Amino acid sequence: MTKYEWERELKNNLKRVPEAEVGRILDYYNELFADKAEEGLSEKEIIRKFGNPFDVAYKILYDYRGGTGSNEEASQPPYGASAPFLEDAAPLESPYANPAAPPAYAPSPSVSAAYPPPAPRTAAAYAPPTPVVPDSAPAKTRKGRGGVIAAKIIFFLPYAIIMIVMWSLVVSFFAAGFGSVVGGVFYAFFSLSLLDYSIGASAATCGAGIAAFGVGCLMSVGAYLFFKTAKKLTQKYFYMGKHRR
Amino acid sequence: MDVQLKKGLLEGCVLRAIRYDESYGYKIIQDISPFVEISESTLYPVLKRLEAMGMVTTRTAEHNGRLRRYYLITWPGIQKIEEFKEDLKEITRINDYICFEGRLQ
Repeated sequence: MTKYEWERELKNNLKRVPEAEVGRILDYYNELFADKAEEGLSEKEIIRKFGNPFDVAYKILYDYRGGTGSNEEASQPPYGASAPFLEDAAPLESPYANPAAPPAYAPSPSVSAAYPPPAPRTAAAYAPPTPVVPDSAPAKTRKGRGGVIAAKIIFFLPYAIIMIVMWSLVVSFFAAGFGSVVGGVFYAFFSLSLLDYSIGASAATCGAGIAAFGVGCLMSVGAYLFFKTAKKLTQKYFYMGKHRR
Repeated sequence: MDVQLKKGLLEGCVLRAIRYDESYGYKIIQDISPFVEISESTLYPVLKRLEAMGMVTTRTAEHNGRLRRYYLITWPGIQKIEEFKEDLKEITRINDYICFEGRLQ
């Protein structure tokens, strides 16, 4: 499917959507298409990733129906006058459809300059009570966060030491258990090679091997239980560190 | 993931992606996708909704001889992020109950 075909399909599936809105949707996909093409993706790949135009249209239609809430009645068109974007569409569309016209928003890249929005927009209702510069907010948050992290580190240091000791014990238990199991098996097999030397020595070695294997198994089980406890405690510890004040 | 839950989370993600600097469709998708599954067709309704709610405004600027639409956060949008943080505390508590039966409290 070519880009042209894809667009045509999408348009066909958006027949009940106002023209201005369809224009915006196509602009959106055109922009994404161009951005992806700049990245070096092929037309086919991009179209494949966009997905089936029918599905795309369905998503758009579904979202508006869900978003505006009470559009179940057949008498009402899928885009009732209550749809918030309808009021928005006209003032928004003008700068976009006609690039020569001056844009409604001051074309400044900074967030603070672009705000407040033009008066007739619904967004005007949200005019900020005080013209807070957004840039100051992140700095404040970061500073506060640093202090919290520092406090957490100091407060949880004893816990951290306990954690480290506990996990070392778990690891050493596992190592010991594993070593005993492997050693036991090795000895049991090694005893076979002693058979022609002395049956007694062979039997003793075999027994020792089996005993070591058993001890290793027990240790492994113990280590596993210890590991479970340690895991629970660690989860609790990290959970406290992350989500609890 | 639950549709309603994801809808709300996506709004938070998009707001976060443009919180400190304006951004455009493709970049928003790239910034968000490591954290949450999002496609082009999913992003569009989210942006639409945020704009309708006045949390996002747009401007168009030229890029490589074509127009590109940039999305900018507004004051209500920033406030929405703060609301998200509060909501998340509540969700964490509920999650604790669901997954750990409240033993971590």
